[in-house]
Formats: sequence, structure tokens, C-alpha cells
Amino acid sequence: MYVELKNINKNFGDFEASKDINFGIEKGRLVALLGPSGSGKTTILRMIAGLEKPTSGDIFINEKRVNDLTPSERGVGFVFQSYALFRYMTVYENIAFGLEIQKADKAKIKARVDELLELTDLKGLEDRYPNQLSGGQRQRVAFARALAPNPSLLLLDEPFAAIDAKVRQELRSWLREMIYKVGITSIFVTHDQDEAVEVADQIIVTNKGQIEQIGSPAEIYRNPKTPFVSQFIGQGTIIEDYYRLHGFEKGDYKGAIIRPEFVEAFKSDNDRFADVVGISEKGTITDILFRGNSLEVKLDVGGVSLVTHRSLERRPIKVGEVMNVIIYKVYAFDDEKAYLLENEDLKKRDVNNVHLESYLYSEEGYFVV
Amino acid sequence: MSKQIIPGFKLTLGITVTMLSLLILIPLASVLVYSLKIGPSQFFEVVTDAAVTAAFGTSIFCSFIAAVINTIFGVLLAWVLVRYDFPGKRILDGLIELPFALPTAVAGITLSKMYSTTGELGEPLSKLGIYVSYTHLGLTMALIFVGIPFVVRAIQPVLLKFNPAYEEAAYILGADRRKTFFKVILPELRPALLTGFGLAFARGIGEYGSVIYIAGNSAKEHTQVVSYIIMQKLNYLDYGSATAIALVMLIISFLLLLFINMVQVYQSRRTSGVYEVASATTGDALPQPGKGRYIMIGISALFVVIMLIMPLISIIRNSLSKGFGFYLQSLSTQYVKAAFGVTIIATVITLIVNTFFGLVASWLMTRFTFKGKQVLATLIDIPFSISPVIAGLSYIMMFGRLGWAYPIIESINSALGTDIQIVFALPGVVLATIFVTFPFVSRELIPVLNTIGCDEEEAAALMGAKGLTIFRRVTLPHIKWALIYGMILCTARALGEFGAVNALSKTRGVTFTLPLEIDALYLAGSSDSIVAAFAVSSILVIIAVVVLILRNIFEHNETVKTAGR
Repeated sequence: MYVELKNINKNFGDFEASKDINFGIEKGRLVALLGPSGSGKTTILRMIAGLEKPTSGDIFINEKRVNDLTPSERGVGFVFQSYALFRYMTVYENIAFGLEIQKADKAKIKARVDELLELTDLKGLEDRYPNQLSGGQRQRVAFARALAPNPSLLLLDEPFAAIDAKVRQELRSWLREMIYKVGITSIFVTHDQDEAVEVADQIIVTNKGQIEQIGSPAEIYRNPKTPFVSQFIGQGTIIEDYYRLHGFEKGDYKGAIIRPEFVEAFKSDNDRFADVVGISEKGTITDILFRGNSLEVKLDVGGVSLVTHRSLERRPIKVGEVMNVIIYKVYAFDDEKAYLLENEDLKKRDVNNVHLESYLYSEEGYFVV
Repeated sequence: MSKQIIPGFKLTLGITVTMLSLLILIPLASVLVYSLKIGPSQFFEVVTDAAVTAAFGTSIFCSFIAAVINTIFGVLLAWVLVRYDFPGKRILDGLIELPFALPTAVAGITLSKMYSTTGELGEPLSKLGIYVSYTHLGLTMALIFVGIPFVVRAIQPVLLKFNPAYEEAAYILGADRRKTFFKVILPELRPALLTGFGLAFARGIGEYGSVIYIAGNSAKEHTQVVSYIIMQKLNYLDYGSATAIALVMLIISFLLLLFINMVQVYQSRRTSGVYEVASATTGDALPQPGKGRYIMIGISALFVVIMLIMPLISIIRNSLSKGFGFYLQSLSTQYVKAAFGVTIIATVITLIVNTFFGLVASWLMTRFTFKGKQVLATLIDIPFSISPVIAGLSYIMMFGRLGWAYPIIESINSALGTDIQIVFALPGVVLATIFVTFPFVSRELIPVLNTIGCDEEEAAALMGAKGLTIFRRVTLPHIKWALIYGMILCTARALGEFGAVNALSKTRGVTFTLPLEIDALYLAGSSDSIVAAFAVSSILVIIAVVVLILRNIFEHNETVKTAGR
């Protein structure tokens, strides 16, 4: 493990910002610390950087305990949320700052800064001041400044928070590409699950100062292990009386999360669903929202309110229309864990699970019409 | 933009320009016009006279040294007040403003007495061979006294708002505390430092009341300041020379003000548009303040004790040196009672006029953008940086026997059968007081109005509220404390105004204000009258201290209220 946190606790006065944090990160990974605001993700990042001291526990970087080392001794680079570019220094001076502090010689500094300007595509802007740059350019300067002293670990605090939605998309792939190009182990903090899923190859989900789950984006998405993760990831809706839906039985759970992609709603005359129409139930459309590339449809199924997405290519629907509805699966949860429950009726029909696969993972639902 | 939505542009612009012109610009222009009358060769002769150039040299040199010292101590004091916690911090913070609230004449006689060879500090220093009173050193000390709040109050807010992420960024990149301060923090302070330096410098060049007693005013020793020379020329009724010298001084002040405003424009250019999320606190792993902080707190405390607290104690001590009976007796003379009356009248009228102007002008300057706004801002601030003696002089040149407005007043008098006099009469005293404290209220309001922005007013205007309703219901609650504080400061300065009133008031017991009465008593020179001068001063000191305490309370209220933003 390249970065390792062992039994980390952090208190700010009475407030427990981190509770018994344990995790390890392999060299070369691009990791997201994902959680809602106040979940303690930034505190973890700042402790790894050496900006905050853990109340108890040990931090290791490259097998070495670093609790008592300064950030520069730890070899970390840090990109601040609003970049904290020095406003009275030019782009060049900002990037050179860390090297000048190390008293590197002038020629070396120039060579390194030039190299970073090249890498981040900032050539020609070196004499500009931060306020003469766009948000995206500022992020690149902050990135170059953090990388200048050749850190072995790069930490980024909400790197996209200060950027317009439109540019954000571009910068996500830029940053991902750049980090792989440099080959540096990186950890970034975000509250946006799309951002974490798109950029990171490993996600650490935090909540209330604790770690909920660690895994690849697909794992986190498919197999949420805790009630919090099952709710936080995806656009699921919480339902208490899930057992009133066909194919599910009451278990020892507090409730269930149903994501839109778990719900299929079709018109009763749809031939392609003929073999499953018998195990479907009736649902009335209560609302239809246009989502650009799809429709978000709200349904009332026997008193339970469900949401599904519907391709624009399918036949038109209207509010009040009665549809046939099948729920493939739900995430049931108790106080501690989340469990995957599959539609029993559907499972019985499909002994070999061949169809179930195609119900679940085809892009546009089982049948397009 | 906002100018279409928020009402009152034409009205506030009209009132601001009219009041500014009538009270400040036209009187000042009278100085200009008169000084041009005397012809270039004579003008040149007057301003190159050895005594005059020496006075300019002295004023500029001592003010510059004082401003440099104030800049250094100002950074130190502001740093200590913002960054460290220690017992008595709020008192220290409050005392910084003492020179704003204390009448200059009171400061002048106190410093002069304190540093004389028989004074509390002057005696031990004279044994070491250091003479302060009646030397350049004393003059510089007095200028440090009046200038220190300008620098501290310019830097403090910048340090308070300083984004901790900058320090963290420097720390992550390996900078130690010293390097972080000099390479990252100091550049951020530079514009505020220049502003504070410029204001202290400008104020020092024009300073009158606090320096004339301690300076000694000897032509031979080069301890005459420019304001003193102007006053001297006025006393000899040599208006030509007085106005010529005043004009040169005005040009210097104006250039300084222009410089300050340009710095501010430059500053906003460098920092505007940089989106920032300031982190709440600095990380606790950053190096904590070392032992050096005790030295810094110690130096700051020593500075405040010597420069600000000792003078206060000295006044009280001197005023009671002949017993409490004598103290009361000195306060109940006819002269003092009359002076008290004049002072109150002048102060009340000034307060009303300047509060009205302050509200109107700050609305104009913060709610609308228009051509020439920068120039207007500079003009409003003129009274801050010019010598109060010039303020007095300009009314003499307008309404006095040689003034262009004199015939107008005369014809009004003959038409109505009245005997209105402006100069050397109560109206002159009132006008001079208004002049000197003119920008006090607006200067407190403008930063507050700028920070709160005009979103709420625009919302109210869109809902159909009229100008006065918007102001009363939306704006006023935000600026209440700043307004009260500005009014208090204005009151304190009005009560203590000396230089301007001195030029316009000649009759003891009739048009003398309290500071003039103090001056008369002090210059009478007998030990009794000097003690009486301090007794009268003590009243103004008590008012000044009350002002400081009130300010402290208001500021505290304000920070408590806006803490959640």
C-alpha cells in the first residue's frame, strides 16, 4: 500500500470529524473521496497532506510514518478548492514558488516550469496574473504549481467546484488523462457522484466521519454495502412497503431503495412483454418530466410511488395512463447493511437467468416498443 | 444594470455635487483665485522664501519619517491584533483610534508637556541628552501619534479577510512562516499599506493642532511647519502669501490623494474576478506561532502605552495637579461656559449637515456607476488630507473683506437691515467645523454599503418599493451601526476641531470653541492657566474615551450579528 491510514480519529473540539478511519491506496491509483458535505472527506485529505494533525492514529506514505513530517517532507502536492493562486504573482512565479523555496538553481527552475507549462498547455500565459485567466486555466496553473516540486502524491480538494458546469465536463477528462500521463498517485475529494464515477478508478465513500465502502465505481454502483451508499449512489427512491410489490416478500428490513433503472413500465398491448405480462402489476402515471435524453416517469403502483426512465424512442405516454409495471430488483436495507433482493416471480420464470440479464442490462429496456 | 432599478440617482447626485461645491470646492477655489491674483513672480517669491521652503522641507520630511514608522508599527499592531489572542486585546484595539477621537489641540499640549524637560518622559530623556519637545524629534512624535490609526485601520480588515488557503498553499510548497509572510502575505497587504501610508503622510503634511505646541516653531531651528506659516501670514493679514503657500500645499495633498485612489483602482484590477472559497480556519498542523509572538505583543503594547496611554494619563494628572477644587473652578469660568455653548452649537449643526450628506453621498457612490465617480470620490475625501488651516483660510478668502462673496453678504445685510457676519463670527466657526468633518459619515457608510451589495434593494425596487421606503426598510437596518459610529466620530472631531476654527475665530468668550479656549489658556503660560487648559482638555478626553468605548461595543455587536454570513 502506498498510502495507508490506520485507526485515524480527528476531533475539532467536541465534533468528531473522523472516526476510526482505516484504508490503503495502491501506488498509481486515482482515488475519489466521495461523500456529502460535512462527511469528513476533506478532513481526511487535509490530514494526509499534513495540514491537520490526526487526534490519534498513524498515516503512512510509502511505508514511512509521516505524522510528524511537514507536507514538503511528505512529498505531497495539493490543489486547493479555489486554487489559492497567489494573486500578486504571475503564472510563472506561481509555478516556480515551490522550487524557489527549495533554493533550486535558476536554470533548473526555468526548465521545470517550462516543462509544466508545456504539459498543461499554458505556454504563452506565463506572464499573466491569475485574474487574467479563465477558471479552467486557473485550475491548470494550480495543478502545475502542485506538481512543480515533483511530489509523489497529489491531493485535490473539490478540484471542479470553482468551474462552470460546461467546462467541468471537459476538465474531468483532462485531469484524468493528465494524472495518468504523469503517473502520480492521486486522491481527490468530491461530493458529486458523477464526478467520482467518471474520474476515479477507486472510490472511498464517507459519511458522518466514517468510511462506508471502498471499491471500484462499478462495485460501488452495483453492490452498495450499506444503507447510506445505496441511497447516496444513483437516483434511488426510498420505499418502506416494498413487499406490496409483486415478486417481493417481507423480510427483516427497514425499507428498500429502488433506482429508476430497476423499474420497467410498458403498455399492456406490447407483444414483446407477452411472456412477463402475467407477473406485472398495474401502475398509473402521475407525472412526466422531460430530461433531455429521456423521460422521467412517476408511477403510482398500488399506493407505492415509483420512478422510471423511458426512452424518447418509445411510444408516447400521458399522465393518467395505466401501465404494466415490473420491478426487477431492489436494495433492501436494515440499520447496518444493504441487501440485493431480486424479483422472485421473474426468477422462477427464468430458471437459467438468461432473460433476467437482458432485462437488467439492456440500455433501452427489454423491448424498445 | 442597477442604475435603472434603484431609484434616486439624479437626486443624490444633485445633492452631493451641490453640497460638495458650496461647502468645499467653491471655498477652496477662492484660495486658488486669490493666489493667482498676486502674479507669478510674486507667487514664486513667496513660495521660494527661505522660511517657507524650510517649512515645506520640515513638514514633508517629518511626515514622511512618521509615516514610515507608522507603516512598520501599523503592520505589527494590525498583525498582533488579528493573529494573536492575549488579555487586554480589545482595549488595545479600541485605543488605536484615540488619535481620531482626541482633539488635536489636546494632543498637542499634552505631548508638548509630556516631552518637555519637566514632563513625564521628557525629564528622563533629557538626562540622556535627548530633547524631544521643540525639536524635529518631537514634531515627528506628534505626527506618529496622529497617523497611526490610518495605517492600522487600513491593514486590519485585509488581514481579517485573508484567505487561510494562501498560507496553507505556501506551507505545502515548503515555505516557512517568515517566507510566507514576506512572499505571500505582504504582497496582499501592499495596496492597503500604501493607502494607509499615503493617508498618514497627507494628514501629517497638513497637521496643525497636534504639532504647533511641541514643534517650537522656530525659524532658525527649522521647526516651523507649513500650517504654522500659513497661520502666521493670516495673523499678519498677509493673505497673498497665505493663499500662495496654501495652493502649493493643496497641490501636494491632491497629488497624494490621487496616488492613493490610483493604488486602489490598481488593486481591484489585480484581485477582481478571482473566485474564492475562503476556508474557515487554518489547518492545525501548520506551525503554530512561536516565542516571537510574545516579543511582537510586547512591542505593540509598549508602543500603545508610550504613544497613546501615557498622554491620556498625563492629561488627567496635569488637570488635577492643583486639586479638585481648582479643577472645578477652571471649568466654571465665563470663558469656558461660553466656549462650551459655541462648541455645542457648531457640533450639532455639523452633525446634522454631515449625516445628511453622508447618507446621500454614500448611496450615490455605492448604488450607481457613472462617469467621473473616481474624481468625485477623491473630491469628497479632500478634507481628510488637507490642512485644517487651509479650510479656515478658504472661508476667509470667500466671505472675508477681501473675499468675492463679501459684497453679496453686505448687500443682503443692507437690504434686510441685518448684520450677518460669516468670518470671525459663529457661522464661520460652524462652516469650518462642517468642512473638516465633511467626509466622516460617508466614509464609514461606503465600505459597509459596498460589502452588502445592492441585491436586496433591487429586489425591493422590483417589488415596487419607492426610494425612501427601500432606504428605511432594507438599507438602514444594515448600516445602522456604521451610521451611528460615523455620527459619533463626526461628533468627536467636531467637538475637537482646532486648526480651521482657529483661523476663523478671534474673540475669546464669544466665538471661541473649547479647543480654542484650551489654546488660549495654555499659551497664557502661567502655571495656573496651564493646569486650567488641561482641566478643560479632560472634558474632551472623557468624550473621546466614551466614543472609543461606544465604538468598541458597536463593532462587537456588528461582528456578532454578521458572524453567520
